[in-house]
Amino acid sequence: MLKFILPLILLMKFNKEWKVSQVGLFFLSFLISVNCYHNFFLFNSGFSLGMDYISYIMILLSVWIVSLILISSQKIKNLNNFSSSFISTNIFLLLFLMLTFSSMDYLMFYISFEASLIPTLILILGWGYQPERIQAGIYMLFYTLAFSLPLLVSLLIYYFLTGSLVISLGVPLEGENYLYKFWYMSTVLAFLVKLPMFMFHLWLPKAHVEAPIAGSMILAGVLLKLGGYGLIRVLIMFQEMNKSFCWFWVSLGIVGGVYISLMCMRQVDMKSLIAYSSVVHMSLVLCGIMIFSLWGLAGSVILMVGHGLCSSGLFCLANMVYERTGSRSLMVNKGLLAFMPSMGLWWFLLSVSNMASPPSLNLMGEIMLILTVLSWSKISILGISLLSFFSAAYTLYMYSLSQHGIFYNSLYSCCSGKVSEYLSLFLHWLPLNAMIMNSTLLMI
Amino acid sequence: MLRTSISSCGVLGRLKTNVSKLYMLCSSQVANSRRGLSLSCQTYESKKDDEDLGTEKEKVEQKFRKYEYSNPYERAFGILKDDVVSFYKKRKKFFEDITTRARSNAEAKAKPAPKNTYGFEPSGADVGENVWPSFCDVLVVGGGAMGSSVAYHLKEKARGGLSVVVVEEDPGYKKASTVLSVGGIRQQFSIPENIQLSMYGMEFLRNIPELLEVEGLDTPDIQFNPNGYLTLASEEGYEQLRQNYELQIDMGAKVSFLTNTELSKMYPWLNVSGVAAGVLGRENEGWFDPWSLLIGLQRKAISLGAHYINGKVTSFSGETMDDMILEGTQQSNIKRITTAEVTLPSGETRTINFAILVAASGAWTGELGRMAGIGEGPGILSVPIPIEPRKRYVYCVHAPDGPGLHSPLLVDPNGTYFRREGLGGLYLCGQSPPEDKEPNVDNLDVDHSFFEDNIWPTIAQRVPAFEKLKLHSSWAGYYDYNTFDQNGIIGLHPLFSNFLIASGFSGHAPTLPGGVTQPLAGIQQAPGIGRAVMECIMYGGYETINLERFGFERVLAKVPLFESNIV
Repeated sequence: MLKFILPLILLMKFNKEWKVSQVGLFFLSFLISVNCYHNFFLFNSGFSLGMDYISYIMILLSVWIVSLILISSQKIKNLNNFSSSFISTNIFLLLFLMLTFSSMDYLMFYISFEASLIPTLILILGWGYQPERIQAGIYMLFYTLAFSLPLLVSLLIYYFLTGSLVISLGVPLEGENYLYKFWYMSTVLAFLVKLPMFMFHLWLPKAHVEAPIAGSMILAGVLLKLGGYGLIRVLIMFQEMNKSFCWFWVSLGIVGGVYISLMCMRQVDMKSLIAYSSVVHMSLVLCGIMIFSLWGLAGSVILMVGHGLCSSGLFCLANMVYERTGSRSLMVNKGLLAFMPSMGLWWFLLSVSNMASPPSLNLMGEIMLILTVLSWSKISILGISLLSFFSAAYTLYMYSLSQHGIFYNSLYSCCSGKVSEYLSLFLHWLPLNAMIMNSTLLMI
Repeated sequence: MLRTSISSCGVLGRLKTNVSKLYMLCSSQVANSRRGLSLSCQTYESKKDDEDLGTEKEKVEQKFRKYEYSNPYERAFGILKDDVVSFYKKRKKFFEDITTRARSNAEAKAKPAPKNTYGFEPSGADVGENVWPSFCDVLVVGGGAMGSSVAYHLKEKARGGLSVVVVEEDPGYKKASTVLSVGGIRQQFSIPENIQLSMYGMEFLRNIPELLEVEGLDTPDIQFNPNGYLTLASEEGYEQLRQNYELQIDMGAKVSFLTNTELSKMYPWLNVSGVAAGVLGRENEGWFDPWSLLIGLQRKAISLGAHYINGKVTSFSGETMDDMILEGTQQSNIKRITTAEVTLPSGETRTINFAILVAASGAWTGELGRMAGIGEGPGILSVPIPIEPRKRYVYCVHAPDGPGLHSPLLVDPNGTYFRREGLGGLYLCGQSPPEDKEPNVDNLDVDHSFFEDNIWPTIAQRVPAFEKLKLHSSWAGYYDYNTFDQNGIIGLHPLFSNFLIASGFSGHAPTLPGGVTQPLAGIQQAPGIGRAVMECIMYGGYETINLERFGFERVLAKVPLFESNIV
């Protein structure tokens, strides 16, 4: 594992040269993806860091997304808006994310989980645009911090009780009194807020919308997955307790997902719409994890990876429009097929992936999760059907409202997009639609 | 009186701050609504102003939160620190606000809440009242009738979807054309679009009590006098008058054609020598108080979430969109203006980034265009926006034996006009000087010899009772005069992807050299133009009234669109 982390730390030295960092990050992702034929449940281990099936794909996703961030944030380089600090902040964030995903120790996981918040906050407040980003950053910081402090306490209690915090040696706890229930809640809530679950999702639209493109991409791409990943790790301890509570989380997930997808249809801000759709996807992921069956866990991991690539790509597209028009509002960004015809391809491909159409990873994840939730309770078909239906509805709404129609400045011109933008979108789309062929990479 | 109504409104904190902001704007402007009339003149409008004269000193206070870090790390932690420090400073006020709000909420629960005219809270870049809106979707430069109408229509349609900022350098509106105008509305034009704009304007004015109602404040009352316009024509102008009349009837205007015998029967005080015929507007014509319209639009726009900033736009910066392909000209680079630098009255400069710019600065639109580079550059950019200020005088005369209540706004064949003002025997009159005798626009001083040489003889000849009048007061105002063809310019500039012009509506002058202009016609088109700009921005084209002929392209192609005059 150190063979990835040490070069990453060394890459921070090159923060003054944008191109070197970019190439370096792509090379790092190549190095990591070479391990794709792993057969072990634990590999690349050393210094209490190690990879297994799920952390491997999460690490690959995070390095991939961060390298795509550097391609999409060309404006920071062109305007020379402290590009060296930008690169070092991103690499710091990547470092903490890699540590989080590869840690084999709960405490190490917790520390890097919290530490990844700080570079994100700096990205939002330092390079963001609007005055509202102050509130957005505060919401994100305090929501996550407030709910994860009990997690620290519960991990320490676990250590005192069982003597070890190593993840693979997780001892499933047995006990049914209220103290165990309280322990379970305080552990699980931290990740539910990060995921985010329906009742605790308020920070997400604010943070995603007010962040610069780098912040939005990393938030939607990887940081939400921290919640799902953490849940999978932590529920090893709480398997018995989870069985008595999972009805609550699954119900909240489904009902919340339907409600939020209805909210999506009301949005006028492009980024806000994509942010709310992230909540919908993650609520389905939550259902899958909480049911804790094989297909549930596999489906949630696949949907997490698919959603990371898809939402991150959609945020890239929204940013491209914002850079050219100056506004994120869907009321003036209409008729983009006339304004940027070639981007229509990427809008279409990423939108249909968002609504889980074949052959995207989202489709596979959703099918597995639908089957999981259905096998757990037949009545959930009502909620699931509404969820899938409205998921397609709001994606069509976003696509049609932004692409079709008349652009207000449809005088005599059109714009086609730069090659770097094409590259970043292509690299979002390719793993999303190609990995379904070899999805054993993502499954247990 | 306004103060008590605001404190008892106590509905939602957000609304309260908006309303208190409105109050501050209103108080400084209600006191100034004398429109240049001297203090000794007591028109019935100004009777209400006297009560609030004491608050004239209360200028619009603007203090914006100040942060100037550029390094992102400093920016991140500096903003947080500033936030904590400013909250600490305002903590007493914060806790007081909560207790008063709780108390007033308890009072409000006791009696039923007033019916809300709009469905949800006003929104926008609502982070508090003193945060500079550094990013907005639409920037409207100029807060007169046109700018406020654009802001109102945009916010009414888009609600929370677009953030609108209006920059106005003169919040007392001392030099704006809107408030210094005579406020007439008529359908007697010769261009069909102008007729349609005025007809929509009248419909809008009729519905003002519902459309511009703001909770907690008085309903705007524009004091519409439906006495109509009477355009007179001599023998030479008879044909043109007849043609215009046919067009107006076709478009649905309610006008009547009167021969000179009918005229003298209808208006006994009128001397019809030299007059062959006249067209009188029976309905939807008359005059109103442009000040109330402006304030009504402004208040409603603010309550819907538009931000009004007191400042002057001093420069623009933008970028060339080098990946956009423009067909049809050799110049293939579309420019986009991204940032406006605004100088606040205190001298500090701040920037606003926006998506769309609406240039509604009236007489100074030409100057604004030059700031953006229109008029100084090669190719298409060498043609400036042909709008410049022209000074016009309005005289208020007292004639106790004058025409009285039964008199329209009369337009003489040589361009002089007069109308009744109030109920005390006062009349407003004016005339546009010929092209070669344009007065100096540096100041708003009035030239009384113009009245005595040009206006008095005409109106005394037309209405014999005016021989014994006394000049009561006078004021001067600027027309936003389109030197190209005296009709408004509305639409996008071809070379900029986001520069919308909406200006130049005063005047409607004839084509003949040495001719005179008809009275101020811009204010009546304010609602129509606001709606047209809103349709341009939100629908990409004109939906209700097609104003494509009024675009800037006609200036580039040198194809003028003239209103035909009546001699």
